[in-house]
Amino acid sequence: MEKNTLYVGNELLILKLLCIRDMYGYEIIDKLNQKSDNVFNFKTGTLYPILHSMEKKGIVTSYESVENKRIRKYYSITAEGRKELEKEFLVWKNYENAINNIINEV
Amino acid sequence: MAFDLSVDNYIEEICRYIKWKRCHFTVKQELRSHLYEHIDELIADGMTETEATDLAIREMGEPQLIGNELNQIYKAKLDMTLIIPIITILIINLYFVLLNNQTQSLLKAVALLIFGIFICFVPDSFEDSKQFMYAKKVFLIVLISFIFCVVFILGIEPGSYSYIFLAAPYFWIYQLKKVERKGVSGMIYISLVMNLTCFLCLTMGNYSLTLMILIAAALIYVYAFYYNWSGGKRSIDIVVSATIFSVAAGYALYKKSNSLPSAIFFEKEIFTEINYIFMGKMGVCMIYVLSIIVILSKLVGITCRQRRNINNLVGMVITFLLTFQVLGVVFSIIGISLFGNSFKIMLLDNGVCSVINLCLLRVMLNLSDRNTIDYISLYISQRKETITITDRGFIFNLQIPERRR
Repeated sequence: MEKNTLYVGNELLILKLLCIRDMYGYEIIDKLNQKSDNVFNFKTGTLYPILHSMEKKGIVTSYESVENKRIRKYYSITAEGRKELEKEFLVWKNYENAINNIINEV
Repeated sequence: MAFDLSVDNYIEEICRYIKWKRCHFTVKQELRSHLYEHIDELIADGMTETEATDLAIREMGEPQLIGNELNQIYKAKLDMTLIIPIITILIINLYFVLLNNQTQSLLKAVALLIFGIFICFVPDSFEDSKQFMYAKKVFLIVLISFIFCVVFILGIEPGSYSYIFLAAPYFWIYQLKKVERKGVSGMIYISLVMNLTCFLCLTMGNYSLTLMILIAAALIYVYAFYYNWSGGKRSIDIVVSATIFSVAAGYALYKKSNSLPSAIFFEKEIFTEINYIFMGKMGVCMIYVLSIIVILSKLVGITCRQRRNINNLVGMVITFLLTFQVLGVVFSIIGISLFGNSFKIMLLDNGVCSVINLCLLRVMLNLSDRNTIDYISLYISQRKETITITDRGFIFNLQIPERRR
């Protein structure tokens, strides 16, 4: 089975999801799988380093909530994160346009 | 139970690679919660407990890989921008210790120095989660002990102001829960500015305190109008502070000289020469020192976001300190009105001066943050966008299955 490999900014996808509502790690992976119709095979272990790094950058913030006797760490997007999302989105659009231009020319 | 052991061992294995122990608690808690949730789901799908545990762990990935990545994020770096200010503060405070030749003053200064070091380092050595948990209590204890030490035992000493700046982070940690170590760094910068300014003022001439009051009041109101005009919602605190400050300062001057106009011309009789020297130029010096810090922070290469965090923190701390100082001023005025105590006059003197300086600093920070820094950040972020694509800092493989092609 031949597979194509593309590169997409993790932050863009996570920030976009967090725009809808606050989510915890497991939920983020689940939503990414669902929304992409299982196209995104997001490795569980890579999510947390990304989330922690985003938190450190101040684009997301976290809080804990106890649900079903389990402590969940919810992430929410910050004002800084919303600005970052806009920027990332523009970057992605430019990238997409550049690819489209090349493909259409060919 | 093999079930618990394997999950815990796996998480322990991940944490083994994270050298910064203070984040272990939160990392473990989060990963454990994730794994158990996944395991529960797999069991509900019909797997046995052992199979579910094995699969959940396998899907999470190599512990070494995750541990190393988290270690990179939490890697303790020798942060010179933090260490240099700490050392400078200690040196300046030692200077104040040596400046006081009398035994009693020396003891006071040494006690303050130890107190400051204690506030600075001991609570910070706890794990972050515990800091968050106890931040409010720590803050209250520190604040009460500070007030007790300064007001009842030690009295106001040059340099003693710095220690309350170091107490402030815990309040903000409690408030925001996301400040982490940056909060302490912000406080240290403020302390450095205060100390450096004291140091500079020792060797420089005098400015008219009255002029400072007028400039400060004018700037505060300009700032408040600026915020209102730009749709900000944070103007109310500064307006309240400015009003209390103006009333307090005006009332104090009026009380001492019977009429406000004459008070303006005879302020030297009201405020002692030593405080005049120490505090008179403080606001002006602060602005210069802060400007230098802002420029240096750009030169040493900290990111725009980090600098904005520092600025935001400094702004919040100033609001807090303003409230504190204004309360001090009001308290002093009541004290003077009732008892005419000379100690209270000194307290009022220091309080009013600090309020002026803090207002000026806040105005300067916010204005610089909203104009120049915004412009610079826009420039940097635009550049960064290009870098993000080319260096592929946060990327993952998007695998398109065959059926989609």
